[in-house]
Amino acid sequence: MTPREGTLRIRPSSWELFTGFLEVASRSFGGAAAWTRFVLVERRGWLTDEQFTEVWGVAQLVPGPNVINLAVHLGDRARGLRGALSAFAGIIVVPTVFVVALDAVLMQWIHIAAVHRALLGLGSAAAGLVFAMGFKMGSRFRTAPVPLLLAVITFVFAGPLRLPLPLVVLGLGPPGVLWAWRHR
Amino acid sequence: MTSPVMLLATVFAELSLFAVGGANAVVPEMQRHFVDVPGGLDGPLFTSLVAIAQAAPGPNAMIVGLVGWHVAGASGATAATLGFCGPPAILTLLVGRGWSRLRENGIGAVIMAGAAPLTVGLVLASAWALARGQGAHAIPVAITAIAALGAMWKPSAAMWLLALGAGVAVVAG
Repeated sequence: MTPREGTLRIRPSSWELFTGFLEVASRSFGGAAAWTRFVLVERRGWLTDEQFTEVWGVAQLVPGPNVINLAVHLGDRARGLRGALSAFAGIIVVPTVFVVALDAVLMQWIHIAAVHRALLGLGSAAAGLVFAMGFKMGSRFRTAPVPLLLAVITFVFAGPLRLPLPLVVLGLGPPGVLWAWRHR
Repeated sequence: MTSPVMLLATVFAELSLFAVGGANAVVPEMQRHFVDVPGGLDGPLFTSLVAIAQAAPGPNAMIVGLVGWHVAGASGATAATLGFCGPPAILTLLVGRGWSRLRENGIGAVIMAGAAPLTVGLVLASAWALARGQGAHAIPVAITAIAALGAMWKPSAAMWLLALGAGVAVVAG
């Protein structure tokens, strides 16, 4: 494992990777993406903005949870496999233990009608937040009919029609990449 | 008969490699495999879990561990989390180490631009699946619509909108 420390401003230790990504997670109410840059660039100073953009690019290129991929990639750059595992523990393992404990407490109270209704209301609002996120992300396709059409077809296939995800991704991914290739 | 823990690990491992844009993309698939099936969760509970995973501090991917927890306890949560995060993590290590080459020949940028419409469509499909799970009644639909408009107008208000949704449901339910 050769760490690629040249691509970081400061090379954090495995412990710092763990606490750094735990900090990202603990600040991330409503998803982690927005807080990641703040903690890593502003507060910890591990990366410059350009380096962050590059690390973010790697995390986005790979399927799966972006912020977790970013933690793994940054940990690997700093301290190899050991660093990747430390960052992984900080970003998802500890938060999952916490949220399961929180859930266990809430489920004790779910037979109380008000708690049950509050959780349902929380769910309805969460659906709205996801809609807003999708619309905001998609707003940049307003002047690009082909990506817009692909996004709409993806929505209809995966949402209302409930087609299996692998089928949707394998069917609609290649046309998107082909379009991007021709317009690069 | 596959054990629930094995099922969680294999289903999430397979889904993880198609999760373009993150955990939101697999919400409809999670519903298909683990909601309203024998031994699974009921629909409104699942949607509440998604809300808890969103509201609590941490990545939205925590939903995967929560579903695993409800299906098969601690080993279920572990299997689901490692199943969902493991394959992308390994892929990230490989891509990360070859990144400079992907960047130089421009392939990285093309894949990212090409996957963008898919990501947007999958996020909206996830929202659709969550809203559908709450049923077509006036109050949940209204809460969803208000939260969507509110978050479009002011993204930083997300936590307030979640609290508002919970409050309205308690009062109006």
